[in-house]
Amino acid sequence: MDIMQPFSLTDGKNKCWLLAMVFLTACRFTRSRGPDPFWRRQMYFRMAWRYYGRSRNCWVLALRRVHKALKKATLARQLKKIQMRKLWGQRINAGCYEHGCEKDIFLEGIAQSNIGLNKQMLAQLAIYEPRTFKSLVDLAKKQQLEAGITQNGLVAPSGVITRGML
Amino acid sequence: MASRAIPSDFVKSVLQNGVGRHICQLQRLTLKFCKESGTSRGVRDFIENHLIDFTRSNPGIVVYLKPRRHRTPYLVGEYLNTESVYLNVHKNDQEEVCKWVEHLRTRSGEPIVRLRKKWFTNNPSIQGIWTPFTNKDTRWNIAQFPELVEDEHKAAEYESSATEDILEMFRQMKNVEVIEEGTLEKDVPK
Repeated sequence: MDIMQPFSLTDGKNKCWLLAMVFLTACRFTRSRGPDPFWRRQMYFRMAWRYYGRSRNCWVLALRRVHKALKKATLARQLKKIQMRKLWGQRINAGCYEHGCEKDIFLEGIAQSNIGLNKQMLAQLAIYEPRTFKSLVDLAKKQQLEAGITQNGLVAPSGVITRGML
Repeated sequence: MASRAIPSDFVKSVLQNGVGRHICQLQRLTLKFCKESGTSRGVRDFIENHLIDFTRSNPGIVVYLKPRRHRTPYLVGEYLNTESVYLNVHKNDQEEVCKWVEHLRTRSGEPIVRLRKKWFTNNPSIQGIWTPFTNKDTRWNIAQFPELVEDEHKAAEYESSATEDILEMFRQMKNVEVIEEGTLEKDVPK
């Protein structure tokens, strides 16, 4: 059965109407091929402009390299978070050892004193505000000593007055 | 990776513009348009209605008009850092042209790229950035080396050498007198 679609022609001035039927079945069997492949390749070449040699100019090579790069980027998003946390931990540890404390004890003291600074901020303080970091370490040490931690010869810092409120 | 392929930059202002006096970064505005075609109508209306007010309120911006037949209308902004911005205003009405002109007036000449961080400072530290000497005792400035390490938390972990152990054992034995090197009468210089 042929599909038929009515359409009308109108002349705006004379308001004349012409009604006719259009046969659409044959037209609907044709398939459009899609956009020019140039554009898809261009998208990849734009990601590959900084690659060495033929990888930036030849399609198959560029495709492989760009796919690899995108895969690595997907994985790296998770890895970056892990590596940054590790780096912050190392920096906090280094800062603590200068003041006679350990990272775990320091972080525990910070948490129990209800100080909401995260590892990123503590690492930034250790680098850019060393005196603030020292005072935080002293506070944490005092809190842990009062809580009963006696690990590794923890020495009570001078100048921290808690009045047993921590 | 696409984010490295696409240029990105940190937040910046041109020579700390605004800390002292704010200087408009737009140096020159060029309006290229056609006198007859319909796509330039917005620009023509803008020139008739809004351009004079714009020039009076911004005496520091030089405005050029380029009537060119059968060409698409363009706004070209040239900035103090020698960057140029080209804006096609084909078929834009005069309100849109006003907004684009305002956009060109208020931006610096820096290219619009992805910002790596939303904040920037030239002075990240108030207390001074950490150095290896920040937390060291200041008497080390005048110390004469070699000197025994007297760090608080290292003193407890200090392990004596074998020589010192033997000397200690020797001292504890009775009827033995330890003679320090160079203290015998024959060794003392006269």
